[in-house]
Amino acid sequence: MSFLLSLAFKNLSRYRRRTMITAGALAVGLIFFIFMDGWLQGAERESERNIIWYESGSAKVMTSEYLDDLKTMPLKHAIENPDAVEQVLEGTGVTTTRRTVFAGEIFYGEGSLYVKVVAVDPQTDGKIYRLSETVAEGRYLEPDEQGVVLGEWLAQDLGIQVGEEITIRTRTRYGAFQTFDLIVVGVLNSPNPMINKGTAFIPLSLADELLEMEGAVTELTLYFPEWQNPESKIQSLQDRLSVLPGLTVESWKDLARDFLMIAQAKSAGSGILLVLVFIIAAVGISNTMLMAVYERVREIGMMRAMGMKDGAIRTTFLFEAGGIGLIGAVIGVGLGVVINWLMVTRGIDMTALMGQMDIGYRVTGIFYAAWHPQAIVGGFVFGVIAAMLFSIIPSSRALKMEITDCLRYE
Amino acid sequence: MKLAKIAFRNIRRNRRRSLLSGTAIAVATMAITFLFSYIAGFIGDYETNVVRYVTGHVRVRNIEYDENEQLNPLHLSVANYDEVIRELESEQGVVAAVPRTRFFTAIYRNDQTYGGVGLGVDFEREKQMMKIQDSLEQGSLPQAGQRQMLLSDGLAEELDLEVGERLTLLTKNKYMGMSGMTFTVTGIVRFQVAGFNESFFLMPIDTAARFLKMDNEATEVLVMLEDAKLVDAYAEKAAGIMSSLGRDELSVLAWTKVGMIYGLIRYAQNIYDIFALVFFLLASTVIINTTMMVIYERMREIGTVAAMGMTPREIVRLFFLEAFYIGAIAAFVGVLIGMGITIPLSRIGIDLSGAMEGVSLEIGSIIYPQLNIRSTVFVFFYATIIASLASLIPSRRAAKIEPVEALRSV
Repeated sequence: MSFLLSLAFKNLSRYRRRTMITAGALAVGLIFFIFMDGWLQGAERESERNIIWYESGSAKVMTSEYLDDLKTMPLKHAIENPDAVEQVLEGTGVTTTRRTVFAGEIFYGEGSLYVKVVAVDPQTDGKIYRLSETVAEGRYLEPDEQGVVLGEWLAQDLGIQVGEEITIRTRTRYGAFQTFDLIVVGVLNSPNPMINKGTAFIPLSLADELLEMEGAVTELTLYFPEWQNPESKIQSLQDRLSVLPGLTVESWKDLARDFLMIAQAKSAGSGILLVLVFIIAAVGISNTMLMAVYERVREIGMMRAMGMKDGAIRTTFLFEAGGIGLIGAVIGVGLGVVINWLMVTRGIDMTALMGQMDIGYRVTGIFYAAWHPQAIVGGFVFGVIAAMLFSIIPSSRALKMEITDCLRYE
Repeated sequence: MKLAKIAFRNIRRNRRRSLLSGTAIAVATMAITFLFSYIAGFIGDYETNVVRYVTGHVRVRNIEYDENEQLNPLHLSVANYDEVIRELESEQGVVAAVPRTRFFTAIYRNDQTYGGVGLGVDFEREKQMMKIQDSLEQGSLPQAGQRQMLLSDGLAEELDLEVGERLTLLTKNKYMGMSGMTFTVTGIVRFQVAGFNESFFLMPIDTAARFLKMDNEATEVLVMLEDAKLVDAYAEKAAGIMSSLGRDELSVLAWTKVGMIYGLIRYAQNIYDIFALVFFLLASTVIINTTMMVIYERMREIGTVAAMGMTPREIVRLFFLEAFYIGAIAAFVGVLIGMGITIPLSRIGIDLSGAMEGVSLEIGSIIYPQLNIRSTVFVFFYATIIASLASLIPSRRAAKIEPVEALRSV
């Protein structure tokens, strides 16, 4: 066996150019695969983060009735005793903040607009949401002030500037109409278009008073580090909360189902891309490999003529192919990881491409990739195995031929 | 001339080798053809939907309407739209000119309030434009002047309404007063555009005018042209017509200049161009790799022909011709197969509808890949050229070696 190994190794170094070209085909295929996959992963991660950071946190606690009617945002189904909920959740490693979300109509100048108003607690909101980092003009909310922060598109639609006054009309928890005047203290431009389009933020204490909430809030946003796979965490939180009937924990995945469907549609689209990359790379690998072995049928004939056993020849070629696969996969994964690392840490700056474009919300112009270990390891293993498999076809074909035919083969 | 003959003979003689390098080129070409068609389909679909549903090729509105669009200023309308349409239609190359009135309503049903967007349309004219008849799921189109309406299926589901039932709408009319009217649902439509399915309903424009207390007025007039390339020229002409009518209050806008829609399309196009570039690189390396392999494997042969007196230049040309023939044939086959995959798909479409629900972009639920010059002719030339050029690298080196050296090479 060790003889066969060293023979295979000798062959590899003897045919240096062939080895390098075949391994090169494999390496290039892998590099592109890792690059593409990392990029698509990065794009997906980024949109997920935009949901977590600006819209939903990791999960939310709401009453079941509120959840059923999420679209109409009924204040009457609020959480009566948020303190109790926070007490129950203490010690679970979960960060919480309170919010009251309701529908309102903003009046400014000649007209009016229906918006989603989110009352936040400026002191704790920043622990989960990153809205304060996205202030484009003015400043973020301060506790208890009579102020409002608007999304940028909303501000533009209303034609309103920081420092001006708007009126919001809504219904209180008991259904009575309530109007209040607020000063616009800031304008947000976040990477999440939903925030820019139709959301206004006010301090929670103000909403509490104006909407007759008496301490109740419509939701508690939770944040926990394991948000990417929230299922088990949600289950344990739900179990704990069962002491407070009527409450339910909903993960960001369920809350953002619409978005995730888009993401799925997108990944169906990008899946096509990956499949195509894979096909091209696989054809490149298989063809060079097939060619590398077919070119050596004469050599196989010679070895057989000299009395080498079929099995031994097959093993040698398998080792050789494995060696080529290994070289290619190491180079490919190595370079792929380096490129991916650059794309994760530095990103690809596409400002030059995007510079002139106004798509309405903040695009940094720099795209970041993400790590996707499964794809990297999978690519490596696939590369080595594919190289070995593709060598079997031509070598066993040559072994079936008459020795004399092998020797005469061109 | 003789070289061409030898090249052909070589290709036929080394059938397996030619086949292998040919497949690599063909598969790469096929994948690029498909990818480009997919991208073209995606973007073309977005464009047609935007034009048919939202902007037309050219849009005529009251100048002030745009500034206050979100406030739904019905009094800033296109008055006497019959005359405007007559004049717009008199130009060459117009497919349709349609009036539309867009308004927002509150829909009360089962003690709940829902938001809805109404569109008053001329159903006869829309046959060319929005093609509502093709999207009709149940029932029939409303009659002009009757209090009848079409619901989008998303809205119908949300309201739990069926064909034949009646529905009361409340809205702010032209004079900012409240109007209410009851309509019979005559049909349910499933729009091509996922975003429209959420909240839109249609009614005859004269009924809408009565409801909104408007009088031969529309909020906009959209024009669709036979040839999208003539948009700018037509827009200029239309602006001239408007000012000759003395209608200085109207603004005429080509759809490429409406808001950020066109910017978004360009943005998507750029992103996809980057994908296409990555693809090109990968496909090129595969093609280069196999071509190089083919030539390096034939060192000994090169030595033979060199020893027999072929000059280095002739050798390079011979291999260039071989690569060119293989490249051209394979690229042709590749484009053909790519077309073979794309053409049926461009009829059936790739259905993403399950995944696209809740998406408020003007992207249809079904993507129809589109073949164009770029994805066929251009790709063919590209692959042929890359393959031919790739032969130069190894053959030039091979031609430089002494015949004895080449003969001894493995």
